[in-house]
Order: sequence, then structure tokens, then C-alpha cells
Amino acid sequence: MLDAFVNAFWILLDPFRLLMLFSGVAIGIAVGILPGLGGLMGMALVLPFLFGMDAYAGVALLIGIAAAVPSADTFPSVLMGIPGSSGSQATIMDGYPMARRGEAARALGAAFTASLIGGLIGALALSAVVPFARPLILAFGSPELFMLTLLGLSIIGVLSGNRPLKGMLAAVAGLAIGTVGGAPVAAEYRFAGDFLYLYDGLSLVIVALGLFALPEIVDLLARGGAIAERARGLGHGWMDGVRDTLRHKWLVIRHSVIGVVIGAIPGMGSSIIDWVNYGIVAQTSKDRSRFGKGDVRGVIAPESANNAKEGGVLMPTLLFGVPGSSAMAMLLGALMIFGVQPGPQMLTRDLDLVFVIIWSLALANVFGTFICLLLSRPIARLTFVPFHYIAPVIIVIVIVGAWQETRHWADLAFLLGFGLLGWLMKRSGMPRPPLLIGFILSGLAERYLWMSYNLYDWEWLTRPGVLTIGALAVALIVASVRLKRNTSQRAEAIQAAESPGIDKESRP
Amino acid sequence: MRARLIGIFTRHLQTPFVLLVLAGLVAVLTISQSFSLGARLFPTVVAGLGILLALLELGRQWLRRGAREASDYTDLGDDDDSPLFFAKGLLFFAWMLGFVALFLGIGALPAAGLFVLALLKLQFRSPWLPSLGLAVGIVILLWGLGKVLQLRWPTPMLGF
Amino acid sequence: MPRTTYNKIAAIATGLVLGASVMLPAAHADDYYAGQTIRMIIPFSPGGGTDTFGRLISQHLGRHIPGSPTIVSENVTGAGGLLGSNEFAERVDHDGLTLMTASGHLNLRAFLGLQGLRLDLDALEPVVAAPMGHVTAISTQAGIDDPADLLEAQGRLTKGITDPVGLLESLVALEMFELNYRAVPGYGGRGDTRIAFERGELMINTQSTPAYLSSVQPLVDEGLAMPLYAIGFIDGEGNPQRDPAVPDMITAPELYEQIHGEMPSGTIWEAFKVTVPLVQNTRGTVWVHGDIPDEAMAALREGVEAMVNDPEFQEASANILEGYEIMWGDDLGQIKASMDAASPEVLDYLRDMLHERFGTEFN
Repeated sequence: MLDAFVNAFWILLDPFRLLMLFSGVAIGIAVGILPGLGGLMGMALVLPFLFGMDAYAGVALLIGIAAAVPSADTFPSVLMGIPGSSGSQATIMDGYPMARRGEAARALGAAFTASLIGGLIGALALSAVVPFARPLILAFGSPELFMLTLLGLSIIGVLSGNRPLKGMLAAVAGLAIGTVGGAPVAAEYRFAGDFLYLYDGLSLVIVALGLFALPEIVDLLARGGAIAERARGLGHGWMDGVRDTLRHKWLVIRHSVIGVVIGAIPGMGSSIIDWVNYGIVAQTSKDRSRFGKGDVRGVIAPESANNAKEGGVLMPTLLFGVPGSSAMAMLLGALMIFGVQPGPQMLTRDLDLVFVIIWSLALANVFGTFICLLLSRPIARLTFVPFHYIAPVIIVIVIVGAWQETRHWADLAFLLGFGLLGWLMKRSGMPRPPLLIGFILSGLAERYLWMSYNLYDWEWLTRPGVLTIGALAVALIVASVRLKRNTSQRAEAIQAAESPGIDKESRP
Repeated sequence: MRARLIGIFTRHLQTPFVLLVLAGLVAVLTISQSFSLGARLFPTVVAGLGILLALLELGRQWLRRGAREASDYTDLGDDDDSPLFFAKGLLFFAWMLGFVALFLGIGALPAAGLFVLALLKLQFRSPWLPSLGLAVGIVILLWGLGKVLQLRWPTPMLGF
Repeated sequence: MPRTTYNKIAAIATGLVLGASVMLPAAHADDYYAGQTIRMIIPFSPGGGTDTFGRLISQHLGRHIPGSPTIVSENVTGAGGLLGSNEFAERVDHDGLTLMTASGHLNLRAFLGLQGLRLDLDALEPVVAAPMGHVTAISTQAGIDDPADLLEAQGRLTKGITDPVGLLESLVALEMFELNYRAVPGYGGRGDTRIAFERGELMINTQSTPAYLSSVQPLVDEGLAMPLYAIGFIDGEGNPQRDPAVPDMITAPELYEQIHGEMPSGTIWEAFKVTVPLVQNTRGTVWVHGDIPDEAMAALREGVEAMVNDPEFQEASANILEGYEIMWGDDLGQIKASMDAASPEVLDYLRDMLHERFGTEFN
């Protein structure tokens, strides 16, 4: 085992393979920064070049892309409140308010450091756990997966703040929007009529870009000025962010582990990971008053989990040939080109390749983070440029990115539609994250509920795994309610002390 | 008069919005009744729950009418709710709609150049130099991205 | 991977096609494709088996077609393949400059006339295709240790369903045995059903033969599962044939004969004979419109012949074909022959079964 581990490192040190790894990282950073494009796009781009390439080099290229995207997609999330790819939606919640305060470099520094450590923990977990991961993966049957979707929905409580009713309503609206298209357990297309575009349901990229990107652009333009409302001195640079992350090292480790575990469970989908981690960090912190206003912990938690999850999603991919995410489906296709059948025998027959994947993951995280850190200072300056010079470029890129989804005019129509919806939600005090979470979990919840019933009738309710996860969800909700009471009492005390005009932005 | 109308509208936007959601959920509930059981059950439960929540929220708003609502930390804080701000927002949505129409109508690259130039010149009255520079820059950027990332563009409906 | 088994078939096929190629019309094939770009529509997202096959062909076919056109593959995704297929069916010129790679399941959907799909296979010609066998296994929890005892299997015989039409051949086989199984729809893909099978959630599982060999065989070795039968292939006379990748495994019709003492018969057997070749022979099928100019068709056929004889292609394709022989030339006739052989009763039977069990709608 150790032999193979060291051997794989030497295999990867070959100049051509390193070059491929580096190219992968470069492509990953490019598609990660551009909103609407993600790892899937980057991998599809290089797929034609894999025919005839050496398997190690090809894998290094693909892993390079997969590992760099969750680092680079932080840029638009923090700087403009636009999700760079589906993995960094929750980073917006605190990263963007920090940028508005002029602390973009600090937020980016913290995010990238968290990404690096998270990515390395992911790679480490993959190498340490891969021989024992089968029981973990097999422990989650359809009933347990259904309970996990409920656990995901339970974080809506914390994301709705002092308006739980509005949050729940938004989540239910998201669940309803998620039912558009083919029903998961019946051969029927719902709310689609004869419009084939809707047969697959709405795309997450379009919904997320619409809800978060367009309203932000519109409001910034309407307000005028730059993204950063005030400039701090250079003292608030990215080194502060690095220190923030190092100070919260336990947070980084905890959320990296959560990221690996959720990533390893096949059938959950990786787009919910950042939200779950954001919910957990906000729910378990003693002082929650700063979340959503630029608390650096709200950046660190989702970002560490976001990079660590790649180590997790590789487990079912390699051990069972079941892709943990759509980008991993591409990796499986590539393995087929190289004549490698994923499955338990990979650990014996292709152990070298497994360790090359792990080393690529680790090295790509290091390369990716350093490139992003180098880019972060110049790019963070964009937040001080008058926004009307940036907005036209962003609008064009967001719309071009959305168009790549299926290249159907309806992509753009729904982008604008969800943009207007998100903007109206902002205006009417309705939280948007619950809607997005409801949308992501809708299909999963329906699918696993029906499957549990079809498999076990109602006996599944008494399974130990179901009871455990159910207890966890209840505990999270109870904790959230109790902490909320404390927080609102404190908030009222502050409010009473202040003058009536409420400044909702950035009170230090 | 117009400003006052918008003012009334924005201040009480939360009520019309909940009504809109309610209407959507009622539609979901009605339409889904024609589906087979496997497709019907989930939307029915979701819409039923949603209608209940919407009614509760309307009731809450009725009880607390007149009170100023402070939003909590969960969503990005909104900046301003003046009528002017609202109108400006709608204007920028109209600009984006215009770009989408151009994008599908005359093709991606010309649309991007024209849109950037028009937005900067007509809306923000920027000087010619940065406006032209940015317009040319975005066309080159898109062209380059298109080459490198093999992006695909719409087939323009009006030729070119 | 068992590669030696099909050498014989390969030799025969090569001979047949060499014979056929002499008769090809020698039109002005040389210049038709010169300087042109052929678009290959793949109606699925990148990375799957069908996509990989389509990309393999895109990569190699162009330089063998007279005039050396460039082939560019494009994933037109959406609505489970419907958007891309309908684009190919209705919105491209019939000039031989657009090809489409379909999966066996997409072919089956088009054949049955699934609601929303506007692809008419009768108007298309297959250019080249790749087969893929499937194996059905049962969990040892069912309490049987010989496939012949299948009908005495105990417990809830759950079978995971991803997309009912996609799994039709395995369902038809189970129906043929009149097994009382419980269909559980909702699984994301065959990989997910395999995990559920290993977990003990599903009792009956059908996998592609290569996936069976790599992921289910270990379970069999551990004593957790038992192979029941290979779906097998159907030859030109309608007789069952062993799966070349698992030649020692009994096929479904053979098992039926073993249990009942006679071969299956009636509508269900006809349905089996229609669905199996259609799905198993066409894991990936490259289609072109049937009414393209003759010189274009001739150039395509010539290109395919040169491609399959090119050692470089043979090397590149070995991994992707996973132990099966590529189908081209006259072999492709089977695909349309099996569709033509289907009587209206068989079609109605299949549609009724899908509609009753899963509510699937047809045009």
C-alpha cells in the first residue's frame, strides 16, 4: 500500500503529467470564475484530447479541473454576490457583505486558505478511508437518503432569521418549482405541457444565477458607485483572511470532514453541501448576530467543505462506478476510454491509478490555491471600480454562461424570470436561500420517499439509520430555536439603545 | 401621483408577493389533480402545505399591519426601498431583456458590443473612450473565450 | 476481458462486408465531403457509454471518409435525449452533414413511439453501431441456489427501475418467467441500482455485462448474489445466442426451457425477440437520414469500412467496446430487420405493459 502511494507520486512527477495537471488547474480556474460554467463544462472541453493520452496524464488533467473549480468559483461569489458555480452559493451569504465593506481581499484570503486545507483533508480522507468506505456508502439506503433530505430542509430554519414563516413559504415554493418536469417515479411530465424544454425540469444553474446574480447587478446599478461601499486601508488585506482561517482551524477541520462525508454518500448530489455547512456553522455558533452581515466563519465553513467534498465524491465513483456528481460522471467516461472499470477491484488491480488520483487532487488544490491567492489582490480591486463599468461585462458573461446550459432560448427567458422573482423577493423581505434549497431537494425528497415506501411499505420508519438522522434533524431545529431566542433578545437590546433609523449594513 | 402609487406598491409589496405565491400554489394544486397517483401525491402535499403557510403569513401580516418590518440576517440586506430605486431596478431589467433580444436576434458578439456601448453611453453618459474601449474589449474577450472554451453561440435570427 | 471469443465472428463479419463493399456504387463519393464539417449530435450529457462511443466515432471516422471531412461532436442535452433527437429528426438538412449517436434505449423509445419523441427510425439508416449484453443476478436472500428454482424465490423480489423504457428488455425477460416481482422506480442510474443491490435493498438486478463482471462478480464470489441468466442475443433466425462476453452463462430463453421443458412462445416471446436485438445490438448507434444523396451514403459506408480496418481505430476502440465487436456493413441490417419483424400485437403488448405498470404515455 505504502509502496503504491510513493510510487504514484513518482508517476505523477513526469513532466508531461504535471503539465496536464497544471493545464487542468488553469482550465478549472477559468470555468470556475465565469458564472454559469462549471467543472462539467471544463471536463467536456478536454474529453476529445483524452483519446490516445496516457491514463495517468488524462486523470491528472481531469482531477486538476475538478479540484480547481471549487476554489476559483469563490471569486464571483465573494466579489459580486453571484454564484460562480453550484458549489459556492452559500459563500455569498457572508463573503459578499465582506466585499461590500471593502474587505474583499480578506474574504478571499480566508476562503482560499480554507479551500486549500479542505482540499488536502479531502485527499487525505480519500487515501485513508478508501479501503473502508464501502460500509459507509452502503449504510445509506433510500430511507436514510430521504431522512438526509429532511435534514437538509431543517437548516431552512436558520436561513430564515426572524421570519420563519416566510422562509418556510419560500422553501415550499422551491419544492413546488422543483416538481416541474418528469416525475421521478412515474412516467409523467408535470407542468410542462408540450414544451419539451421543461421535460427535464429547470436547471439549477439557471435558477441559482437568476435568483442571486441578476438582482444583485440590478440593485448595485440602481444604487450607483462601486461594489465596496467604503474603502479600508490595505491593512485589511488577504493576509488577515489567511490568519482568520488559521484561527478557526477546528472549524475548517470539522466542515472538511462534513464535506467529505456528505460528498461520499451517493445520491445526495453535491450542490447542497455548501448550504448544509453554512446552516450548521450558523446554527452551532454561540454568537450568531453577525452571520449574513459578513462573518468570516460563514465563508470558511462552506469553502472548506466545498473543496473537501471532491475527496468524498471520488469514493463512490471509484469504488462503485457511481458518479457522486455530474463532473464525476465525466471522470467515469474517461476511465472507460482508458479501459479502467471502476469497482472494488480498483484497489487491487489499479491501485497506482487510485493514488495518482489522490496525489493529483492534493497537488491541484495547492496549485489552484496559490494561483487564486495571486489573482485575489488585483481582482479584489475591482470592487472599488465604479460598478457601471463592470456591470455590462458581468451581464454579458452571465447571459452567455446561462446560454451554454442547453442553448435553448428558454434558458434566457427563465434566467430573466428567476432574476425578477429574486429581485421581488428581496424587495418583499422573502429570503431567497430557502427557495433554492427547496428547489435542489425537491426531486430527491420525492424520489426517496416513494422508493422507501415501494421497498419497505412503512417499515422503513423504524430503521436505526432513519431514527438517528431524524433525531439529528430535530436536535438541530431545537438548537436553532433556542439560540434564536437568545440572539433576538440581544438584538432587541441593541436596537433599544440605538436611534430609530435602522442601519442594516455593516455595524462593526 | 405615479411616485405615490409606486410608493404604496413597494411598501406593501410583501402582501402582493405572498398573494402571487399563493396563486402559484393553487395552480400547482389544481393542475396536479389530473396526474396519476405517483406523480400527483408530492405536488399535492407540497402545495397544500404551502397554501396553509401562505394563509398564515397573510394573517401575520394583517395582524402586524403598519409596523415596520426589519429584515434579519439571512438574506443580503436590501439597500433602499424608495420608489425611484424600484423604478430604476425595473429599468435595468428592461436593459437586460433588450440584450437577450439582441443576443438571439443578431448574434452574440455584435449584441455584446452594442449592448455595452449603448448601456454606457445612453444610460450612464460615460465618455466615448472608456465606452468604446469596453465594448471592443468585451467582444474580443467573448471571441477568445468562445475559441478557447468552445462556447456555442445562438444562430442569429436576422442573419450576419 | 474475454476478447478471444469473438474473433471468429469478426472474421466472418469482415468477409461479409468485404463482399458487400465490392457492390457499393462508385459514385462521385470523393468530392462530396471534401472540406466539409459533419456535425455529430449526441443527445446525452458527456461522459456516458453512448457519448463515449459517439466521440470515438467522431474522432476516427472523418479521416477515413473520402474527402476527409472534420467531424465535430456536440452534446445536445435535455428532456432525456428528446431535445437532441427531435432536433436531428426535424431541424437538420438531409445532406449527410449531420449524424446522431443514439443509445439502444433511445432507439427503443423511438420504436415504441414515446410521447414527445418525434424520431422515426424507418426514415433513418444506421451507419455503425456497438452492442452490449446484460446479465441479471439475484440476491442470495431470495433463498435459492440454482437459477432453475427461480420461481420458488422468497421474499419481496424488488427490482430497481431507472427508466421503465430503458430497462424494457430485462422487464420483458422477467415477465416471460411470470415472476411475481416488485418494481421500484426512481433510481438515478444502473450504478445506483447496483449499490442498492449490494446493500440488500434490491433483490433482482440487471447490469451491462462489463459492469456485471467488474462489480457484481465479486458479490457472487463472496456468496451474496447469484447470476440468473444473461439476456443473450438473438440471431437472424430468432434463436437465442450466448453473450460473447460471458459465453458460459445460460441465457434467459435457455433457462426458460430448462424450467418449463419447452422454449417460450406466444406474444411475450415475440416481444422478447423484438426488444433484445434492438437494445442489446445498439448500445450506441450512429444514424443518418435515409434520404441523403447517394454519394454521401456511399462515402459514409466507405469511411466506416476503412475505419474498422484501421489498426489505430481497433486499438483505440478495444477499451470502449468492452469485449464486443463493432457492428457495421451488412450486420446493421439486423437492427432494422428486428423492427420490421414486430407485429402490431407485440407493439401493443409492450405499450400496454409499460402503461399499466408505469403509466408511460405514447404518441
